[in-house]
Amino acid sequence: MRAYQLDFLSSVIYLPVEMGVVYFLWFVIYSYSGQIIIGGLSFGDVVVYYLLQRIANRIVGRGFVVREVGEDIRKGNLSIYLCRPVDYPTYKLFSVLSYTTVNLLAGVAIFVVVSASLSLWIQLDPLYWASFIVSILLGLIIYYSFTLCIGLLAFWTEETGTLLILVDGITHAFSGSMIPLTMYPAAIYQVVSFLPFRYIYFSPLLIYLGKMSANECIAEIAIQSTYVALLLIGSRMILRSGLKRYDAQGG
Amino acid sequence: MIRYLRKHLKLYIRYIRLDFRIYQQYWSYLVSSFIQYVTFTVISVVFWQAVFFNVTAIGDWDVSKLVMLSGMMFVGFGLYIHFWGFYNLPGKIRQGDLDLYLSRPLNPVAAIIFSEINVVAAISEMTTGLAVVASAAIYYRIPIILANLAIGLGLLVLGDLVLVLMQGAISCSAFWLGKTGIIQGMRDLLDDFERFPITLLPSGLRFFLTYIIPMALVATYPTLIVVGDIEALQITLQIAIIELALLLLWAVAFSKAWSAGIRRYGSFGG
Amino acid sequence: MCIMKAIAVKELVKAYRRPKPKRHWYKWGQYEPFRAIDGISFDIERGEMVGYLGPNGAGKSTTIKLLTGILTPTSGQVEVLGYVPYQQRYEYAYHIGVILGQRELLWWDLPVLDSLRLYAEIYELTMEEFENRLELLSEVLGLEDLLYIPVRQLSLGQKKRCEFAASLMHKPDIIFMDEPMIALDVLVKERIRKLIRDVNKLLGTTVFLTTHDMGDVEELCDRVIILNEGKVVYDGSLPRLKSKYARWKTIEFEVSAIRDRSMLDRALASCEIVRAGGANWEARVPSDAGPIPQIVEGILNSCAVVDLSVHTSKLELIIADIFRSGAP
Repeated sequence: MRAYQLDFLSSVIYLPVEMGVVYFLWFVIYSYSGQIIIGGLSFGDVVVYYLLQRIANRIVGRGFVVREVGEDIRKGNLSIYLCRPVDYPTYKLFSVLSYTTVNLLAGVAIFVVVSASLSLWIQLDPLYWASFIVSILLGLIIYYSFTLCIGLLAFWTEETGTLLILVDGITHAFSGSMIPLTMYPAAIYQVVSFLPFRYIYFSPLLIYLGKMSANECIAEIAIQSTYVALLLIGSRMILRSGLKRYDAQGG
Repeated sequence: MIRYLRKHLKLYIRYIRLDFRIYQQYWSYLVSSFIQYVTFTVISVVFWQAVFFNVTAIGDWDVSKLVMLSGMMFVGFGLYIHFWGFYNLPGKIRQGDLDLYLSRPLNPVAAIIFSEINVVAAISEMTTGLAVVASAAIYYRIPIILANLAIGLGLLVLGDLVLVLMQGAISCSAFWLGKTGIIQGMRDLLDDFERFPITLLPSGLRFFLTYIIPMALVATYPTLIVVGDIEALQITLQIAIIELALLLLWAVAFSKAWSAGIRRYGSFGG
Repeated sequence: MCIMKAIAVKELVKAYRRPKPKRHWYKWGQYEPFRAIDGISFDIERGEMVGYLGPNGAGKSTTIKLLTGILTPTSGQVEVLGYVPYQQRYEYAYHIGVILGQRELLWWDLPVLDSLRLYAEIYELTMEEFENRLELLSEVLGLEDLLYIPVRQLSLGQKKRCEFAASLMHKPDIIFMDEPMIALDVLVKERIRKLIRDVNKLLGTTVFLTTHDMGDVEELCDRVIILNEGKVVYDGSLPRLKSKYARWKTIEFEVSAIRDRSMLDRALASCEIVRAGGANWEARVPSDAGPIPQIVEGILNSCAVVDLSVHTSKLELIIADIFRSGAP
C-alpha cells in the first residue's frame, strides 16, 4: 500500500514533461488552426483540463485492481477473504480508497500550486470545488468498480490482462482522458454520454471548469452515484456466481 | 572471429524460430497481442479524427498525414520492440540472469537481446503500422513513390537504432544504481513525442528532438518523406549524416558503458 | 593431454565495500572494507569430487562465482583447467558446467527438447554429439517422457533433472554446483547423485559443489573444504574429517521400562543428554571420555531395553561444531 503512495509522489516528478507534450500539442492545434474555441473549450481551458486529468489519473492507480483481484482468485488467496466477515468487493474498494484519499489531498494541493505558479485559471467558487471533489471521488469509484468487475472475470478466464488493455483503451477514449468528449461529433457524443466512462473524468473536470450550471452539476453527481450503485451490485452478483464456480473447482 | 559471428547468427535464427513456435502453439498469445495493437492503433486514429472534426488543418498537416504519422510510429515501435532486452536489462541484473550468461560461451549482450527477442510482436506491430500507412494512402488518395518509401523507412531504422543504443546506455546505469531511476522515467515520457508532428514545434525543441534524442526520425520525417514533402526530401541527406554520427556516438557510448558496467559487476556481483 | 590441476587457488581475496552501520543519522556514505574471501588457497586435481561447505554468508557462492569467472578477484591467483576464469571467460566457459541452484535455466514456454537444442547450439555440439548425449542423459535422468512437455508444466524435480541434462550435455571437464539439491525430493536427489557419480567415474569429470545437505556430502564428496568467514578452516578427506574431528559418540536407545532410575543416572553421568523421558533416549558422550561399554552396560542393567545403538556423531554435528569454533 505504501508502494502506491510513493508511486504517486514519484510520478509527480514526471508531470512537467508529460504536461509539456500536452501543452505543445494543443498549442499547436489551437494556434495553427486559427480557432479560439474547440469543443466548447478555450486553449486555457484545455490546459487546465489536462493538468487536472493527469493528476487525477495518477490517483486512480491504473488498473492494478484487476491484477490484484485476478491474483487473489488464481492463487487462491480469495479463501482468506471469504473466511472473514467482510464483503469482498467493499473490502477491496475501501482498502483502495483509504490510500487514495491521501493521494487525492496531495494531488489537489499540487494542482493548486502548479496552477497558481503557471497563472492558470483557478476555480474560485467553493461550491463548485466541493462538487468537483465529490464528483471526482465518485468517478474514481466508478473506475474501480468497473475494473473490479473485470478482475472478477478471472473466475472464468486467464485473459484478464488482455481485457484490461481493451477496457483501458475504451476508457481512455470515452472518459475524457484522451480528448474532451465535446470534441467528438454530436451523434457520437450522445451515444458516449450514456456509457459510464464519461462519468469517470469528463463530468468532474467540466464541473471544475464551471461549464455546468448548478442543476446540471447535481444531475451529473446523481447519475454518477447511480452508476456506482449499479456497478457495486453488479460486482457482487459476479462474485457470487464466480464463487459457485470457484467452489466447484476446489479453488 | 568468423566462427564467433556465425555461431551467434545461428543462435539468433534459432531464437527467432522458437519465438514463432511459441505463437504457433499458444495462439491465445497472438490474439491478445493482436488486440493490443489494434486497440493502440484505433485510439491514435480516433484521436486525430476527433481533433479534425473540429479543425480543418494544423499548419501543413492535415488529417491524412497525421493518420499516416500514427502508422509510421507503429512501424518504428515495432522495430524497437525487437531490442526489448535492453529495456529490461536492469531487471535481469537484479535477478542474477547475468550470472547465467557470463558462465556460458555466449556473448552477454547478444544473450540479453535474444532472451526477449519478441520477433513475432515486432513483426506484427510493424505490419500493423504499414497497414495503417497503406490504408491512409488509399483512403486519402495520396500517391506514394516507392523510392520515397524506402528512404523514409531507412531513416526510421536509423533513428530507431540510435534510440536502441541510447536505451542500452541508460540501462547500463543499473550496474551502479540498481535501478535506472528518473532518467529512464523521463526518457519514457519523451515517447509521447513520437506521435507528434515535430515540424510544428518551436525550433529549439525541434532541434532537440531531431538531433539529440531523435524522436523526429521515428515518425515525423519518415511520414513527410513518404508523402513526398519536397522540403523534407531536401534535408534528408543532412539529417541522415548527422544521425549516422549520432549512431556512432551512441554505439561507442554504449560499449563503454557496458564494459565499465561488466567490470563493476565483476567487482560487486550485481 | 596435459596434466594440470583442475583448480589451483592461491591466496585468493575478494573484498567489497559495504556501508558502515549508521550510528549517527548524518554520517552518510561511510563504507568499510569487507573481505568475503580472505586469502584462501587450495588445489584440486582432475577427477576429484569436492564438497565446499560453510555457514551461510561464509563466502561459498562468492567462491564459485570467482571460479566460474563471474567475479573478479581483488588479489591472489585463480586458475582452472589452465585458464584464468575472469580473463578468458568465453573460451573457458566451453569446458565447464554450471548449476546455480535457484535460477531457471530453461526456456519457459517451450518443450524441453527445444531448450536442450539451444544449449547444444551454444556449446557448438554437432547433431550427432547432441543426439548421443541426449540419449544417454535421457535414460539416466528419465527424461524420455518429458522431452516434449513445455518447461512451465514440469514439477520442480523434473525441471532440475532437465537442467542437469542441459549442463552436462557438452561433457564439461568440471561441474560447479551451488546448492543444487534445494527443495528436491529424495528420489530425484538419488537419481541426480548417481548421475554425478557416474559422470565422475566414467568421464573423469571434476565435481565442485556447495551444499548444506549432508546427504550430498556423504554421497558425492571424497574431499571436503570448509569455509568460515572467508577462510578455509578444514581441507581434507571426508573419512578423515569424521574420524579425526568427531568429538562425540552418540548412544541411542529405546526402553519399554526403567527398572533402576538411579543406576541409569549414574551410567549416563558422563554424558550429555540430548533426548530423554518416555521411551526414546539419546545421549552424547565425548569420544575421549571414559569407556563406552561401561555406559552401555549400565543402561542395559537399569532398563528393559528394546533397542540400542552406538555411533559416531552425525556429520551434521561435526560440521556444525567446526562452523562454530573453527577446526580444533
